[in-house]
Amino acid sequence: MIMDKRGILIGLCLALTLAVFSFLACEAPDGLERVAQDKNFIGRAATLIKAPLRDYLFPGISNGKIAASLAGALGVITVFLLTTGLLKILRRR
Amino acid sequence: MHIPDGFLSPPIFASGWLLSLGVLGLALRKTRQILQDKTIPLMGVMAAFIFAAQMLNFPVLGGTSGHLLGGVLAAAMLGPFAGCVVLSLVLIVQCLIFQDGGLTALGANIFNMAIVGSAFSYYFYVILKKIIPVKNPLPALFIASWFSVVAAAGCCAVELALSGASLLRIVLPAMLLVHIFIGIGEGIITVLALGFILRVRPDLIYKK
Repeated sequence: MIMDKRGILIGLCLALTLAVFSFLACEAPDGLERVAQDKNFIGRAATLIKAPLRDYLFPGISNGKIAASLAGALGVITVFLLTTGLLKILRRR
Repeated sequence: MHIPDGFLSPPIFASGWLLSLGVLGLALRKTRQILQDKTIPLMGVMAAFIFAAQMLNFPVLGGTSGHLLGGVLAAAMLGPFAGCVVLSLVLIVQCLIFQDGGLTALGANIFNMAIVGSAFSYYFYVILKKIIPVKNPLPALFIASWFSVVAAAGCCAVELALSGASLLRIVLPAMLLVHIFIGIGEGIITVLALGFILRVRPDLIYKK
């Protein structure tokens, strides 16, 4: 499992591209949401924490597509840095 | 299939946390054994890709959508333990930064999608590869990734029923039915992605 710098860059660019085009995603409720609506328990849903990029939208941007693209790209970078950072700590221990 | 806060009762979400923390601890120890400097960026890219792919909902049936879970994809690429760790990290970021999946339900979501949907379904993939008499791993991969979504949905339904959100005879068939269709999308994306990597960089794929 050897991955060179070029491979990492290509992989990350692919992930970023997918995230930037996330505004094209189907907006219908997902499987669980749909079942929760149909079977009448969607009302149980509660909000405990207010996450910064709720609903995959960057706050304060009126254009929904740009807000979704930005939030997605930020998420891709966060997930990559968190995963590699955590694993590096794990490896050092 | 990210369960929000409020759907699960305290005994059920507490059990989810306990089970997930236990298995995740084991997965982290096992991952550490195979960790080389070069595998770390691969796991990072895999996590980033799965996060991005999970944002792309595709339509299924009327008025419902589904998205890739990526559990079997991650485990086929990285092995069951590293796959489970990657999926868990994606779920943690989705919960804390994007409010996708509840904080109390995070343990149950990790159990359903990272443990059952990734590590457990990986072993199903290994068994299928032995049963199916063709050299190409993609048919087994398709079935296992379809199964991973249906199995995770089944676990989710049982947790909802045990929490008193609905009756098992109502929520289980409903969850299974919609995810039987979402699972087809999962199978197609997983086969396309791994088929592509098999062609261009087969050396990156986990070998037991």
